[in-house]
Amino acid sequence: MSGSDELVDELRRSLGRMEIALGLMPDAVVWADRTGRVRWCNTALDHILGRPHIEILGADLVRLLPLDDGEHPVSRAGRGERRGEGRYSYRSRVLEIQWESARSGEEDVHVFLLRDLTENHRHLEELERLKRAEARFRMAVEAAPNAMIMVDRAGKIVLVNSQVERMFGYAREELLDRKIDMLVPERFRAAHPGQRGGFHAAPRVRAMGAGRDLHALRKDGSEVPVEIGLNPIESSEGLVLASIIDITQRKRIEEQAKEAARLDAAQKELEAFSYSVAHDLRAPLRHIDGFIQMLAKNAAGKLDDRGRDLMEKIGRAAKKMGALIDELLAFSKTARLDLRPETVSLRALVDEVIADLKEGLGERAVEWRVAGLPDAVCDAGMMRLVFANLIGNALKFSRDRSPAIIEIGPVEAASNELVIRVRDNGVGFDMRFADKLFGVFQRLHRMEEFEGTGIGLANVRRIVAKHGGRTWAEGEVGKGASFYFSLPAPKKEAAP
Amino acid sequence: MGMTLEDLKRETAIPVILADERGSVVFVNAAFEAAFGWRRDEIDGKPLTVIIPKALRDAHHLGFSRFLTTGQPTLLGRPLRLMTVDKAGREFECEHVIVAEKVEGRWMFGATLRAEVPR
Repeated sequence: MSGSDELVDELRRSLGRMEIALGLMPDAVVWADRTGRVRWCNTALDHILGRPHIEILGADLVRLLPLDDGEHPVSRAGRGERRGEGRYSYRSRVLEIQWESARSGEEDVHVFLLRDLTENHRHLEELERLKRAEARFRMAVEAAPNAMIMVDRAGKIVLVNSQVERMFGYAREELLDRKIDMLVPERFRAAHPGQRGGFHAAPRVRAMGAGRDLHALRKDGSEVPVEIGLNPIESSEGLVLASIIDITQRKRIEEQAKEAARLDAAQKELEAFSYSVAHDLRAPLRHIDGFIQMLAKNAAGKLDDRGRDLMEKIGRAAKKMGALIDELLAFSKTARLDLRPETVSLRALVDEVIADLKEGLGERAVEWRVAGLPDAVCDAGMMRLVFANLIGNALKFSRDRSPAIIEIGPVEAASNELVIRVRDNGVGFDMRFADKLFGVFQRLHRMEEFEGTGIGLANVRRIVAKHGGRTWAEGEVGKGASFYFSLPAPKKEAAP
Repeated sequence: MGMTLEDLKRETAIPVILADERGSVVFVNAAFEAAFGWRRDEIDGKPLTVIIPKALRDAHHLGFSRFLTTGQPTLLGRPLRLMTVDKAGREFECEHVIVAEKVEGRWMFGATLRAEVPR
């Protein structure tokens, strides 16, 4: 073998290795002659052009690679632009093309390097799209009215919104990358990660801890009752988005409703009890009354004055007890009766009540000042009881006055209610006890001073309340008293 | 891949050329002589590239070298349409089927060159 043969073999091996190396390049390398005919290319160009290698060799590069934008690099190189680069569209692909011209022997060879940016491009576009989607997602979470926390499979907080900062008192940075346990009261922590694991095993939208009270821990150590909705997020990280609602307010309202229901039930029970007691007491009372009368008729002659006096006192006591029982029954009855509202002339009603009461006044001097009473929508029978009680009280507690002055009329009030006042110039009362006036059997004066059962005003309050109104009183010892009650104004017809 | 170098040597209708590992021509048949204008004794020992147009010589050298380096064929055994050039310098397309065989430890190459319409 001659020396030149050895050299050829060596060169062949070098060329072979070069070809292999160039074949491994992701970028296309091609060289063409002055006219743009492909002298050589690596296999990356086959992929870009989508043609077999053998069809590319010797072919016209401009025809093989038609580019959409501007002058073709082949023609630029052919015009003597010895190096350059540019970005071109080839079909739906994006190519970055660099070239360089080299003198090779007695001819020019142009070497082109083609980098396919399509995937990069798509990748960048996809990245942009993802970025926008993420921004939108973050905005949505931020704008949500609830506190939102995203947690990964390991229980690490990856996202919170400002509602979380507000609810828990932590700044965002204090929460991110920390364990969700920091927001769980210590006594629940042991159970919590287990539950979370359970959620990841079967992820679906659901409420957490249904039927149990959940509490969250604030930075200041206080706890807040919460309701938590869990939403799995589809991702390899096993993310869960928790929506947390502070239910302090709701709890309070529930408690109040429960308390009100309890009171209502107790009240009903009490009414039922007092009704049955009053009812059952009537029969023996009638017996006592009957026997006293029989005794008076048949045995009065056998008794001395002291005996007759006692008998009379027993009779009076029985009658008083009877009256008391009747009032109690009436009081219970008002609780049971349904309102039958109608338009009632309060003036006419008051006049009737006064006419009835005047019969028992005897010689008393009373100055009546009744003015401005309108019509009102109410239950006439019940409203008569209200006025009878209030005016009766006014007469009773002003009996030492001469003249007694009793004013009955409306006072100025908000447009949505009618307020009626019954005022007297009697003994009045100490405002400290104003609250007690309307209770059952509550009396500010001794029975001996002013007779009465102590049920009247309780009944007034109940009737007014049934109408949707309020009752209150003002007074001063020795200077008279004013009793007020309100009725909701009937809704005005809307103006056409 | 039925064809062997021996088959090629027996071929008479289609032009055939054989070359050694260095790419030197070692055999052509009568059909080749007729189609390409070379006499057997003229072309014997000349580089194979005398029938390859200038524009394809780079690709030939690199592909040939690659094969000798790796022993992995990329173009062998199936019909390829490639330009060729005759002694007078006319270029025309031929359907090539290239065969490689190791003979006594050295590669030998052969090709049928079915001429298309000459230009």
